[in-house]
Amino acid sequence: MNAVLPANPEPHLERTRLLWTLAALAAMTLPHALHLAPWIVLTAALIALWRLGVVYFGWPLFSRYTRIAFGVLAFVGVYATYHTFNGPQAGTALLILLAGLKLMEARGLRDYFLLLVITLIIGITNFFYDQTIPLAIYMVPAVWLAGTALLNIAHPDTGQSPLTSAKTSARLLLSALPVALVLFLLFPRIPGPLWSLTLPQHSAVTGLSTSMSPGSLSRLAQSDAIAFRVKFLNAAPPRAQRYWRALVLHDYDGQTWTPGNIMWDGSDTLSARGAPVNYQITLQPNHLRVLYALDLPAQGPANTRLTADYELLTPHPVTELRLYSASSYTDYRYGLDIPAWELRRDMRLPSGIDPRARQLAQSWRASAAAPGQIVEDALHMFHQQPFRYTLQPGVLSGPNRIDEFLFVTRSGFCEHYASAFVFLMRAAGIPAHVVIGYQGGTRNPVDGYYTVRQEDAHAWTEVWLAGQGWVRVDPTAAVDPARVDQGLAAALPGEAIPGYFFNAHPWVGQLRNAWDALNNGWNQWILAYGPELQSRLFAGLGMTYGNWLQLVLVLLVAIGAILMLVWLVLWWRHRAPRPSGVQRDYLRFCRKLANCGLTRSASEGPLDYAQRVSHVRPDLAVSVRSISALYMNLRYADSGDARAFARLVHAFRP
Amino acid sequence: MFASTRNFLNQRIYDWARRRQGQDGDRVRLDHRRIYILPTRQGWLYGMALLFMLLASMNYSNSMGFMLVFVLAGLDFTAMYACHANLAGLEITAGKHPAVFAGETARFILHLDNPGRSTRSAISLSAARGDATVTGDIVAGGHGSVAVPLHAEHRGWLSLGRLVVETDYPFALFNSWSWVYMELRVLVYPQPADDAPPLPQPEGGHGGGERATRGDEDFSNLRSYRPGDSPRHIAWKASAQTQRLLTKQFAGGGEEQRWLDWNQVAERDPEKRLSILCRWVLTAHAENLNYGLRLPGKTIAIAGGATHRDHCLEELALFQLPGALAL
Repeated sequence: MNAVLPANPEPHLERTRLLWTLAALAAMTLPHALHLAPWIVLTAALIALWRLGVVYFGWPLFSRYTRIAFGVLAFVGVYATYHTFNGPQAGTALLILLAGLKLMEARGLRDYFLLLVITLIIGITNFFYDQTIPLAIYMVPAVWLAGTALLNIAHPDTGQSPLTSAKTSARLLLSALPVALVLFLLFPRIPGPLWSLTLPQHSAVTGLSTSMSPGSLSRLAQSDAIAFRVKFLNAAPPRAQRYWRALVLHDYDGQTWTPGNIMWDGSDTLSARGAPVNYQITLQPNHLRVLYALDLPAQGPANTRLTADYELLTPHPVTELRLYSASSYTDYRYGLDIPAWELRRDMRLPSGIDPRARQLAQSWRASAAAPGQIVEDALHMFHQQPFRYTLQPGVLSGPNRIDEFLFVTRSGFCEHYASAFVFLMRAAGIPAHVVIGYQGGTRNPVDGYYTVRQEDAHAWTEVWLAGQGWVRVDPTAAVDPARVDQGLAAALPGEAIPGYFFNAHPWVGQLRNAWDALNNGWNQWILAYGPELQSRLFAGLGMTYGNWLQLVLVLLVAIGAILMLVWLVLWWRHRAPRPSGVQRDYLRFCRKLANCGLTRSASEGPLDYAQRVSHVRPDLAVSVRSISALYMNLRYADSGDARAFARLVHAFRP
Repeated sequence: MFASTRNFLNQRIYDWARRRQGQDGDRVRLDHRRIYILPTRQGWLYGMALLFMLLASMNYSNSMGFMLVFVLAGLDFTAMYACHANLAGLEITAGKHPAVFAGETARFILHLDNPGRSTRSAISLSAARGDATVTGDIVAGGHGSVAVPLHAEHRGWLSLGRLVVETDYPFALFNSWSWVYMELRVLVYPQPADDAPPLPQPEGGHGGGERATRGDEDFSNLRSYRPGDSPRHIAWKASAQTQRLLTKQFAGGGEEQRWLDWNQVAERDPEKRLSILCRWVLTAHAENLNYGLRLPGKTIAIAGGATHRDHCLEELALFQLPGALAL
């Protein structure tokens, strides 16, 4: 392979290609330095520097064996770092090293073109880590640079200055934007992945998990990262009703609550009162197969399933920003006709643990007239006795965690209260389960969206009462009503929760609101653009969405229209200039002669033509000669009277 | 086998284009009817990379990924149009092509005019039969001349054949080209033989090769300058007096009847004979001799000068070739 390489065709062309390629490669690789293992970007940078040394200081090129060794080491290194070749991180690392490998031997148009294509792919992988506004802004000049590099790689010999070629590529990129925009809006978006998703391993994903154990939600409360944003299409329900349902947890093993096996998935009739609440949610990736919905969702978006527990499930984990609409009822009843054997699932407890809690529950059961009374007793206990709502509840250990919490520490976060409450209810023979999700959300005055953050993560419970079905009970509200009515900051005035700083300094809070609103707009209109928004766009255009043929037709027509436009612009730029008045008159003179059989051939100059005509028609010789001479003067010497010329042509009668 | 199928298909395409376009005159304007465009090898690679990036964006439902892919796809579209527009409207005019000797490279002179309002970059011209390409830029409203090279193998008329005007500007993603069928031809003289025998002896009354060498000294009279006369023989003093260029004529050269005769060449192969005659013509001209040329069925009277030389060479070039009388 290396033996047949042409001996450096033209060194200055190669240098131009190398420099531009390196510039584009550096611009596209730089953001990866933030999340890839340092040795990867460093290795590529060292190879690039060496290549510059080859060009400028005559350092030796890499031998074939060096390249092979490097290739093998690159694979080994990536595998040692990521333990896989699959997924964006290992993939990006391999791409960057591959670019380095190609850089070692790049020579000629084909090699550098391939390098630039690899550069573009490295560029797009940036977006698999980060789709925020700053990165998007960064990518604009980066793409411009790549376009200019492409131009210089293809034609390093046009002698254009870098500025001229940058202008040319800018012009081409700008005319590419309408096509890009139409494709973005109309290209059919299909929901869900095409093949298995392997996601970047985010070092610290904060968000709900599918189970709940002591500490899991209080840890979330430390984060003010945004979980999702809500836009209510009609009036927003009050804060105390804004329970965002995620998952129902049925099984308890003494420490952790889990959803358990879903045994019954029958239909349930939701009897609702009042008008439904319609809203749109922009969900940040939660890496779960769950969409959040206001308690209690009646209808979810397409391609989702509403379980018998009123969880909104999607077939694939939410790994990108997702926009969806749903409607819910805040005044509802459900689970009235649930079979008795199904209820038994929500009455099971692990045997042998927490004897004191069981004892307490039994005593309530003995004294209560109705199950509702037992619920009241439990809430009363939380309210009256010195239970504390805190982010630092201390560690529970040992087999009897519920006992320890109820009778010893008596301080906990929402998961402790929900867990203990469901335990007590089950021990008293009342079906109960834990619901996890979010509670609250703050309205951003800038754009009117409600922002729900990770710190709003919450756990509450539902108990089943005959004649009422499943009833939501939030034991945390009994301990500290402010949590539900006013939010975490109000409930925990002394503790260092993330929003504290913003509440203490209102102007910083306003800045944050503005930035949030900007990000929200970005999320709403660009990142979350998918089947949902696309169908809305089509509806706005008066078309039904979902007919593939129609989608493709609309796309083709739009592209065709734009291409037509581009063609017109180019045609306009390249059109021949209009003939001047003198030229038009001369052409008329030629037409008059052509009418009597003396057509001027395309290659015939005016003087040759005049000579030929004079030869064939001596009677015309004088006027033809004077007209031609005058024309030559007017056109090439810029002297003479154009009006006199026009009169002569007009009077000419062959 | 694939190569032959491909050649066959290519030939069909060329024939189709030729029938479709017809014969061109001396001046051609490249309009959209005669401009063809296809992706280059790089263009296909770029397209495949875009497809890969599109699939990745679909898989991850990545909006910014979509956006980048679509911007790059838009760039591909505009590159296609820019590449086409880079040729469209270009005007090509045939120039005068100097004659060459067989074995040399003929140069077909073409004048290009860019009537448009932007520079046309990296326009390449080549003969479809040749393997060399000339490339250059033409600024808006400007014009330029190029010499399209083509190897001249045999004597006679060398036709350029199909002229290919092409460009892959701006990104080398697309190649747009136009086929021009102008009647362009260069006269190819026979290749002068390197091992030619010395010039034949003069036949005239004086005879003797030595007279030829003495001729220079035997100045007899003056005549008007003819193009091709050696500057050494110009009578500068007399020219200054008469205000027109005069050439000295010498007794020796002027009267020698030196015939370059087909039958005098001791060689059987006609092409070889022509080669030797060609060398003789050149030598005789270089020595400023007067000479005539005798070919079977054709005689050129004794004369001197460049025009005479060219006339002789032309006869040699076209000797017994079909269509030799054209032009």
